[in-house]
Amino acid sequence: MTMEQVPVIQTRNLDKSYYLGKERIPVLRSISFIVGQGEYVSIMGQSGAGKSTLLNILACLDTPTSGDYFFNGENISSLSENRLAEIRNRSIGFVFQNFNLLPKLTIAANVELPLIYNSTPRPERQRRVREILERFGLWERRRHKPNEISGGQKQRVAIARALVKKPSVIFADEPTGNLDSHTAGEILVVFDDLSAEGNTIIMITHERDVARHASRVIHLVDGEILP
Amino acid sequence: MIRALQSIGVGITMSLIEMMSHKLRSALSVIGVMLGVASLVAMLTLIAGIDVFINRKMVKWAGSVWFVNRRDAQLREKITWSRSPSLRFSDGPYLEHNARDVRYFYRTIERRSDIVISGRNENAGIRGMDRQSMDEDLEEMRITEGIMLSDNDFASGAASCIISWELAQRIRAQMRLARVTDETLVGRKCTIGNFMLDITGIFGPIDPDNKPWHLRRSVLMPIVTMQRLMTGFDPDPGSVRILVNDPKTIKKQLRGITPVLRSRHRGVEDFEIRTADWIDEVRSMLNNAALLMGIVSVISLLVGGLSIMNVMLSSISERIHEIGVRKALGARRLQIFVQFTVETITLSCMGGVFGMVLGMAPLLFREAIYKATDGAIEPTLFVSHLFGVFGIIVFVGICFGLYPALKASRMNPVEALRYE
Repeated sequence: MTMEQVPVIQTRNLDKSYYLGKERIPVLRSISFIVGQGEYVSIMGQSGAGKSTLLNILACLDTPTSGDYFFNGENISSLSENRLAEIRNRSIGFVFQNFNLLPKLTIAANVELPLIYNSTPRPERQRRVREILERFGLWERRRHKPNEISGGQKQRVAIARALVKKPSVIFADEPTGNLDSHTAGEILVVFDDLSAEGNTIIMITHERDVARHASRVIHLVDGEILP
Repeated sequence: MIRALQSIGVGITMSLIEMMSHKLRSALSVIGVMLGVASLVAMLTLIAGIDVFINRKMVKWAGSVWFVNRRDAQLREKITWSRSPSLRFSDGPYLEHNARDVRYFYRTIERRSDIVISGRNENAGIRGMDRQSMDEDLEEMRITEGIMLSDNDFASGAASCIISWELAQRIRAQMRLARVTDETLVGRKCTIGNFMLDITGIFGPIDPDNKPWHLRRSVLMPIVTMQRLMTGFDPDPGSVRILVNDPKTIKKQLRGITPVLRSRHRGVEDFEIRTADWIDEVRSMLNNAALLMGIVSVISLLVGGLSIMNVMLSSISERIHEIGVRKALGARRLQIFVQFTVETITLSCMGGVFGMVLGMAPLLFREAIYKATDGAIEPTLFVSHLFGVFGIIVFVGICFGLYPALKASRMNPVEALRYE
């Protein structure tokens, strides 16, 4: 198997349960799927279907109760928290439903944050922040705070922040959930473009219209993948 | 290493941003530390001021021992005592030669006597001294009129003397009452008993606030003059003052010195030994006071530290979601930890720096405090103290920042992200 054929994401019988007191509540059951390089996958399901839990595991924020998860060929089911942080920092871009920009930092500083955390040298950081902000037409707004720009712009900042470190996968958790339909359309175009450029994208949504943009849809019902 | 430094850099930036956006809260928490540090620094300057005074004034007395005649003899003892020659001037040179730990004998003879200058009576301390003893005694004095006694006067025992400023004032006051217009004193005669001495000069204090009691009303002359004209060669000198070799172990050295003097007094201990050991008492009192004040300052510093810790904890629970976002973006535990620790240290350092400035207030009133305490407290600040205090501040910051920072760094990213 050569490097190019290693799938970005491969899960094998992932299980995740929570405990409410002594009662075990299974959230994910026997999840197995593969996402190859450059795929645009949408994970669809009603609320409570386990989408967010699955995303947390796929994005290395959480570990499965059992089963194996290979990220770029590396089994991460049992890695230490710091190692997970490193993978998140190096290879994973996050776009949240509620943007999750830090309100006290300027837009440029928000985008720069992941680069600071992986100790990119300052000139390189500034170059990349400028490059990505210019691409999204946000360079003029670099000194604004998040509460001074519109929702669509916020989400573009969040996408810029996810892209700035050139991740191998972009995870988007309901990225259009807090946007009006017009703006949502714009953001989906951005994702389409990113996909066309060869980025691997995994998007969680409960809207069929949104899911339609993806090249593949995984339906999640009650913690299991519909065949 | 570079990564750690960068984490610290990031932490400082983040903490400054955070503090600027919560100005009032930060200020309140800073005030606690500020007051603690201010009291600590103020205390240090005052204590150091007293210490400087003690060292400056007392070093002079530190190695000195005075032997004086005992006067409290019971009748029974008096019979024994009669065989002793009692304290003599010659005891001094004898000790200098025979006691190993005696470095120097201050050749001084003291009397109190009535004196007459230009027909005016006064009572004064009369002191015959050798050049070295007189120079040392007049260290903080200067000749205000006339001239100092010359080496020749000391060598030949010339009938010359110098008188103190206060004595001169009193004589002049009497002269004014008697409407004497010529108030010149230098060049006049000073009559002591049957003898007349030429007044060559008048001495007075260099620092008008520093007037040693024993010099206020006194007539000083060469010791040879005193011996030749008034007391004879080997009188009771009033006291025999010697200097020991090592001021720090006076008591131990006295165990060797006292028997030498006792043997000269034919086995009778008819003398008392006085040392400046009250210096040690003052010093230990001072140390106790410093300790108490130190404890109070440390307690207020602790209170300040606790208020910072409180602020940090509340700030962290406000920022759980933010911590989650940072973790999702790839912040490692250490980076989060450093950010919050730096924030606490920055807060406590800000309090510390303001406190230091506030605590230096006594330095502004240096003159006033010096005057008010008669020169006993001259507020002084040592740079080493400032560094020490700064170390304490950083330590407080680290101690009280540790728990909140650990709490923040250990948060589970999923739970933190879910928190609204």
